[in-house]
Amino acid sequence: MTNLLTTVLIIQRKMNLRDVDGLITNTYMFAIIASIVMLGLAILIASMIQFQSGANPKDRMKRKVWFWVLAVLTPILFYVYNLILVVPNIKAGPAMNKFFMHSALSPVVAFAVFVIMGIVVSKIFKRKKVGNWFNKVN
Amino acid sequence: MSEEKKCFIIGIGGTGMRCLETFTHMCAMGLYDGMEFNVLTLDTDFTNGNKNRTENLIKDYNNIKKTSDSSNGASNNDSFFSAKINLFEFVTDYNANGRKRFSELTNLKSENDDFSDSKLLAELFLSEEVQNFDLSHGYRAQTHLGSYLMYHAITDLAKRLKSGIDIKDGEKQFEKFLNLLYNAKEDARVFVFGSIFGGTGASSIPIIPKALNDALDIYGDGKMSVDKGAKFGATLLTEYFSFKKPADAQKSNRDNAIIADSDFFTLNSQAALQFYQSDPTVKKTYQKMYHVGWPIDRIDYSKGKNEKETITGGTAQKNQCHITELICGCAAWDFFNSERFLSETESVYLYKSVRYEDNVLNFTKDDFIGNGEEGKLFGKKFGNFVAFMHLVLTKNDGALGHDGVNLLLKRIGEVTDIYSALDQQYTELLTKYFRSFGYKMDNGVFVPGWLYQIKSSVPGKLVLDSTAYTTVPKELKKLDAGELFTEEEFHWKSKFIGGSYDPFISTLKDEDTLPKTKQNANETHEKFIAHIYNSINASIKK
Repeated sequence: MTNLLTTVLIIQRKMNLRDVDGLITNTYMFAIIASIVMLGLAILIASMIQFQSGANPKDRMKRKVWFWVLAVLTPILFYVYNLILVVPNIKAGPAMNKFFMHSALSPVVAFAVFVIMGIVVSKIFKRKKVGNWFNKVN
Repeated sequence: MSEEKKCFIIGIGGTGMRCLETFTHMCAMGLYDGMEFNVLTLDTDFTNGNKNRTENLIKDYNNIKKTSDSSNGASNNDSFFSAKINLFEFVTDYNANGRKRFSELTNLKSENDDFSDSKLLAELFLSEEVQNFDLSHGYRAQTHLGSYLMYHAITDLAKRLKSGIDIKDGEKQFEKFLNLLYNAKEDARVFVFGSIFGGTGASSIPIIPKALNDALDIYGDGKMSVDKGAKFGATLLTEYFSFKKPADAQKSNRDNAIIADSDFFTLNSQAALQFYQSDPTVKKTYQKMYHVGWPIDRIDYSKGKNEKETITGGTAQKNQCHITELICGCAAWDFFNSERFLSETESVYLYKSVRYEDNVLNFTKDDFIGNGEEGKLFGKKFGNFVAFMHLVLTKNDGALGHDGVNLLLKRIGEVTDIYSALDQQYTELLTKYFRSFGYKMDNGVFVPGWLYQIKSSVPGKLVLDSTAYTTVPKELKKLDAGELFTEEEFHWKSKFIGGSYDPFISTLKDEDTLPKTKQNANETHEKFIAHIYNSINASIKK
């Protein structure tokens, strides 16, 4: 919450090189928070997909698909967030140059965190529906 | 009497075979937890459709239970398929030349003197037609002849077994059965399934205890017998079905001069009951006799079939199952599970009635093996097994030809590989068993198995809600295996959308539903069945 307030305060004025170091840290923290939120959404969706009966149940595949859709959406949404809400508030020049690489790297971090946490959650709760994310569909 | 009872069941004739079919399904439901049965199928006709259907069912049951060190597995506790069944067959084989009719079997034909004692005695009791009809399809309601011949067949085989000459493989099974009965001593409990209005069963029930005892006496050279402490029980099942009346044209043939006429079944039943009430041998040998009757319209086995002639037996005799046979199965349950009246020196006749009102006959869970705890037990075992059937056949398309059991197995396979050793041959066999228990769809046509045949004979409720027995494909698709009972207390946990299937699969994948030590499930397939059993139990709302 404190981070969010700091960021809001920072972006109310154009940031210079001195402010960027804090922004970079916040951006990575945001990336992690965003991936956790998206993972929460993936868990919710996985739980809402009912176990199907019959010769060709589709529920396992649906959960996998939804997991990877959200895995892909997480970095995209985070990149778009940076692009629309953060980047316009950074002064062009050295500050922008310094932030630019991290604005590209943080979505990758968000993706990686989402997938790694997804694997961990799936393995810990392998008897639950999220267990379907990483088991073999047969 | 020691604590461990040794259980023997003898199914005789077509009705006896169908009662055995019911008994096997009761074992599959888990109603005979932890018990072992020596089952003897006794018939005059080895081609009989009902006999083959029952024996194949028991063989399937045993293949489902088969373990690495036993061809028919072990008994388990608190699970499905929990009883162990040892199957023995004995056919009196009247198909061979020189054994087809009474006159041939008794050598009366070869006697030249028309006034010999044997001929005169035979003519006194048996008409010429009775002496000369084809016995390969049974005793055709001629119980005076049948009792004599069945006793003869059993004791004759005992003589041959003793001599050890010319013994067929099938006959060795009877030898094993006799030895088991002898070794059981006073722990032996023998229950006989059969009708009293037809031919083979009606002929055999009165003589079975004596015939077995005399067979042991002959086989053991006077040193063996059925122990005096052994207990005998039987069903006295009166008429409940009819079939096409035999036409004169069919009876014009010597082989078919005698054909059972179902119009006389009521009379036969009445005469048999009078006999059972007054015969001292029967009263002395049987401790418990369960009188099972059918008060309303008899089921017509010829209905809807284009039979040119009355079916006397053979492969064509594959009659549907009936609720009275389930009641007989429950009589056996009482005999093996209750000590009541077993110490009586004279037969006790038992019966239980069910309310019949406005042409409706409703059976609740309390109408089968007793009320209170026993009623709860029956309701739970019956309801859970029907639910298992619907999970396999209805929810997972087993009725449509898919391997429904394998689909449930795959669900558990998502979380554990403990059942990975189960092959498709096993899951297909179990699915096949459920088709014979429940139903199958054949080119879109509903083909009823045991359960639906039983239900069709009941003009009212049969334990579960009527929706549990729907035969309409659209309704079957919507059927919820967790809502088979009318009473909500027996429903499974369910979700507002999607019903009980989703929570059931979650329960199935839960660690708590793994087999417990007390269930004695040692082999992989036993564990799998115990796992399903536990999951179904855990799904019920507490």
